[in-house]
Amino acid sequence: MNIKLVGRINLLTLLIAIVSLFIASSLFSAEGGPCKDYGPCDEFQPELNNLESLQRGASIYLNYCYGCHSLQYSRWGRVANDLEIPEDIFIENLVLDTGVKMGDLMVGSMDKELSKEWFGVAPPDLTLVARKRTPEWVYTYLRAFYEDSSKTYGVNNLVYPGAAMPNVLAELQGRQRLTCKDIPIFAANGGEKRDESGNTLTEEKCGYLKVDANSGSLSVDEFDSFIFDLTNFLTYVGEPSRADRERIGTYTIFFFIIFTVLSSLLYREFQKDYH
Amino acid sequence: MNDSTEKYLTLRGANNDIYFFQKRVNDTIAEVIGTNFIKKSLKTKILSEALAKRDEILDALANIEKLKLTNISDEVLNLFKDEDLSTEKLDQASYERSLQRRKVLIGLTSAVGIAGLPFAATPFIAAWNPSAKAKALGSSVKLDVSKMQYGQQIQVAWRKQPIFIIRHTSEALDQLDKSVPKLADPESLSIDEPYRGRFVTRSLNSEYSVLSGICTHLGCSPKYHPEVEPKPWDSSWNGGFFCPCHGSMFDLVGRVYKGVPAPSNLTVPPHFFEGSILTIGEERSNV
Amino acid sequence: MIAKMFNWVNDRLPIVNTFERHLSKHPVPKKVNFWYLFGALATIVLIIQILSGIWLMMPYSNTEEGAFASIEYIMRDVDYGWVIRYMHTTGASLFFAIVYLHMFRGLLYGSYQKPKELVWLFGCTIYLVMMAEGFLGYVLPYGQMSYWGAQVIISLFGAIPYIGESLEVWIRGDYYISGITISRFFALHVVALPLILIALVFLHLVSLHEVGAGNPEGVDIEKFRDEDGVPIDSVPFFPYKVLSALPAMGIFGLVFCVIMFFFPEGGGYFIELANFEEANPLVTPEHIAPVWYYSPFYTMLRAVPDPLGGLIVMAAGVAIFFVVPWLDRSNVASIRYKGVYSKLAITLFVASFITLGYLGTVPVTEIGRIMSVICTFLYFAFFLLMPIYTSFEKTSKVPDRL
Repeated sequence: MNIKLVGRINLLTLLIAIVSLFIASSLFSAEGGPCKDYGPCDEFQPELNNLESLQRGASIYLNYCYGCHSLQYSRWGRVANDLEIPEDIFIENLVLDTGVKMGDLMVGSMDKELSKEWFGVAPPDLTLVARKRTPEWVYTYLRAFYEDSSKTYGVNNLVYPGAAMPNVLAELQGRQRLTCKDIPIFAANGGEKRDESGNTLTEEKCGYLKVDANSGSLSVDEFDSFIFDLTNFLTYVGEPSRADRERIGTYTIFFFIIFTVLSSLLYREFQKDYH
Repeated sequence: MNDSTEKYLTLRGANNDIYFFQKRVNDTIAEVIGTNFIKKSLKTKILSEALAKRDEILDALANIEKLKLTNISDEVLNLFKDEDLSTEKLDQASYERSLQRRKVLIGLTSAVGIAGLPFAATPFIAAWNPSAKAKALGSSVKLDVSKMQYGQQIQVAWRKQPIFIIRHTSEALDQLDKSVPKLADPESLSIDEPYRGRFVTRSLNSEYSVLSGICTHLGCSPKYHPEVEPKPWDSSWNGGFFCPCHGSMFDLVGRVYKGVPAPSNLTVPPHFFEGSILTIGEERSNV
Repeated sequence: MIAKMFNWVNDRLPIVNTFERHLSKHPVPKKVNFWYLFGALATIVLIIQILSGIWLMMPYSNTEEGAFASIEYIMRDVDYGWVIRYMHTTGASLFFAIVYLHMFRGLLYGSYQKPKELVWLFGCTIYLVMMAEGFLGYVLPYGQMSYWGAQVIISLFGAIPYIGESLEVWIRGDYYISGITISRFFALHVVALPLILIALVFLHLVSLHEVGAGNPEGVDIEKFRDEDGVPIDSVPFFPYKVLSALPAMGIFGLVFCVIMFFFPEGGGYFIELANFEEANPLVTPEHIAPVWYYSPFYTMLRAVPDPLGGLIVMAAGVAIFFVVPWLDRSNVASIRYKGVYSKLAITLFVASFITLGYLGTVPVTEIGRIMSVICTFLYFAFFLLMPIYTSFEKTSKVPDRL
C-alpha cells in the first residue's frame, strides 16, 4: 500500500511540474499576434453547413476577387456540387468564362507575368489562404483597409501593413480612415483611473479604424456580413472536405466509445483469473 | 480460449495462493497448518481438491486468529482477507455465470470490432476510384463531323480510348442487310444497347456510326476495311472491321460475326449530335 | 483434411511453436500499469503509418513542380484522400507522442537494466531512425516549412569541419532543395527507412521476449515458478495481455479520431500553417519552428551559439540515451524503490525536456535563451550525474513477488 502511494505521489509531482511549466512558459512568450497593428484578430466561426452564406460568398469571390486571384487547386464542378448550385445557373451567373468545363481547375484568367508588371507582385492564389493565415486573419484583413495617401493604391492595411493591393471593396465599405479617440486609462489593478472629482481619466490613442458615415453602399453591419460570407467561402475552399470530416468524425468517436466500453468489460472479466 | 485452459488457470491460481502462503507464512503458523500438507497440496491437479485444501488452510488460519497468536503479521491477515474474496470468486455457480458473461462480451466486442472494419477499409478502397482529375480529363469530347467524307472513318480519343466515327454512304447502309445471316447478334440483344431501334447506324444519327474502337474479345483495336471485296479472312467480305489480334470480324456498324473469338458487338458510347457537332461521353436528356 | 494440411505446413514452418513461444504461452507479469501499454500502441501506429503511407505514395508526385500540388490533389480530387493524408499526419505526431511516453516508462521503471540492455539499445535505434523518417517525410509536401526546415537541418551538416559544405551539396544533389532532393528523400522515406524500422522493431520484440517483460515493481518474476516452470506471477500473453491492450486501443482510437477529424493541424503543431504555402526558396517564413517532436533538440541546438557546438550538443542529447544502461548504478530497477535523488532527477529531467520542447516552438527571446541553456544543463545532468546519485542514494527493499 505504501508502495502504491509513493508511485502516485511521484506521478502527481510530475503532473504538477508539467502543468506549472506550461503556465510559466506561456507567461513570457508574449509576441506580436498574426493580425499585427490591428491587435488580436477578430473572432470568426465558420458556418460550413450554411449553404446560403457559402453561395453568396462564392458569388462575391467570383465577382470581386477571381479576376486577379485564382483558386488553382479547386475545381468548378466541385464548388457547384458542394454548394448545391445547379450547374446551368452556376455556369450562367458565376463562371464568367464560357470556355471552361465543370471539371476544370479554377486557374484564373490573369496572365501572371502581366500582373506582376501591374502590381509589382503577382496576385497570390487564394485556395489555401484561409488555411495558411487562419479564417480569423482573412476576416480581419478584409475589413482593415484604410485610406493612406502615401501608398501606391491610396490604401494601407492594419493587418498587413504595406499590402500591395487596391481595396476593391472600398465602394461597398465606404471611406475607412485611421482615427484617434479618448479611452479610459486603466490602473494596474484593472480599474479605471479617476481624478479627485471622480471623473474618469482618459488619454488619446490612435490607430482606430472608422468609416465615414454613409460613404459606402453598405452599412457597417451589412459589410461585416458581406465579408463573413466571403471568408466563409474561402474557409470552405481551403478545405472542401471539412464539413464531411467533422460529420464522419462524430461517428468514429461514437464507435470508439462503444468499443472501449465493451473491451474494458471484457478485460475486467478476464482479469478476475489472476487478480 | 478453451475450457481446459480456463480450468488450468483457476487451478494454478489456487495453487499459487497456497504457494504464496508457504513463502510468506512464518514458522509458527506453518507449524499450525502443517508444512507437509501445504507441500502436498501443491501437487494437486484436480480443481475440487485444490479448493478443498485451500479451505482447510483458511480454517486453520481462522483458528490462528482466534488463538490471537502475537506473531501473525498484518500482512498475512490482509492476505487472509483477500482470500475471502477469491474463494467467492471460485464458487462454481459464479464460475458458470462468468463463463456465460465472457461469451457474451467476446461476441459483442468482436462484433463491434468487425463492424468497424468495412468503414476503416472504405477510404482505402475509394481512393482507387478515378479521381476528380481523371474524371475531368475523361469528360466529353466535341468535334464537327460535317467535314467527313462519305465512307470515311475517323478515330478520336475519349478517355484515351479509341472511338470510331464512320460516315456511311447510303449504298453501304442499304447493303447492311446482306451480311445479317453471318452475324451473331444482329439486333444487339445480348448487350445493353443505348439507342436501340433508332437508326441502322446504332447511333443517334441516320448517317454516322459512333462506336467504341475496342474489340469485345481482349481489347485490341479492330481495323476499318470498308471495301466490298474478297479478303484473306472472308471471301465474301461486305465491308466492316477486322481485328488483327485474333481475327474477330464486325460489320460496318460494329456487329460481330458468327464464329469469331469476340463474344459481342462493339459498344456504342454515350453521345449526342447538335447539328453537325458531335459530343462523345455525355448524354443529352432532351434528344 | 485441413488438419492434415496444417500439419504439413507446421512440420516445415514452426507455426505452433512460434505461437506458443511468443503468444499463448509467453509469460508476462500479471500486474503492470498503463505505462506498459504504449509498446503495443506504437506497433499499431506503425501499421497505420505503413498502410496510409503506401496509399499516399500512389497519388503523390515526387517532383519539384508537382509535389505541393499533388498534396492538394490528394486532399481534394482523390476520393477520401484527405482521410488517408490526415491519418498519416496524425499518425506521425502520435507515433512520437507514444514513443516518448514509452521511453519515459523505460526510464521510470528501469527497463534498460540487466538483462534488458539490448532491448533498450534496439529501442533507441528505432527512435533515431524514426527521427530521420519523420524529417524526410516532412520535406515531401514541399511547402514553405518543408523547404526551410530541411534547409536548416541540412545546413547542420555544413557545420562539420572540412567536409561540411560539400556534404550539404551531396545530400541535396543540387544547390538548393530541389526536385532531385525530394525524390531521393522520397525513396528513403518510403522504402529504405521503413525496411530498417521494421527490422529493428522485430529485433526489439525478439530480444524482449528472450529476457522477459518488466513490471513497475522491478520484481524479477522468474524467481518463483510453479511445477511446470512457469513464473507464478505471470499470465500468458494470449489472451490476457491482448485483452488488456484492447481498451487501450479503444481510447487511443478515440484520441486519434478526435485529432484527425476535428483538429488535424493540431493547432499548427501537427501540420504547420506555413506548410500550406508552396516552397519558395527566395522567401523565408516569418517564424521557423520544427515540428513539436524535434523541438527539444532544436532548442539545444539554439542554446549553443556556435553551429558546430550546437550540432554536437544536439547529437549528444539523442546519443546519451544509448548509454543509460551503464549509467544507472542502482541496485533496484523501479523508481518506486529508488531514493529521493532519483525521483528529483527524473522530475527535473521531464520538466526540462518539456520546457525545451516548448521553447523550440516559439521565437527566441532573451529570457527564453537563458531558460534553454539552464534546461539543456538539467537535461544532461540527469544522465551524467546518474552514476553518482544512483550509487549513493538509499533505496528501499523490493518485494519478492508482484
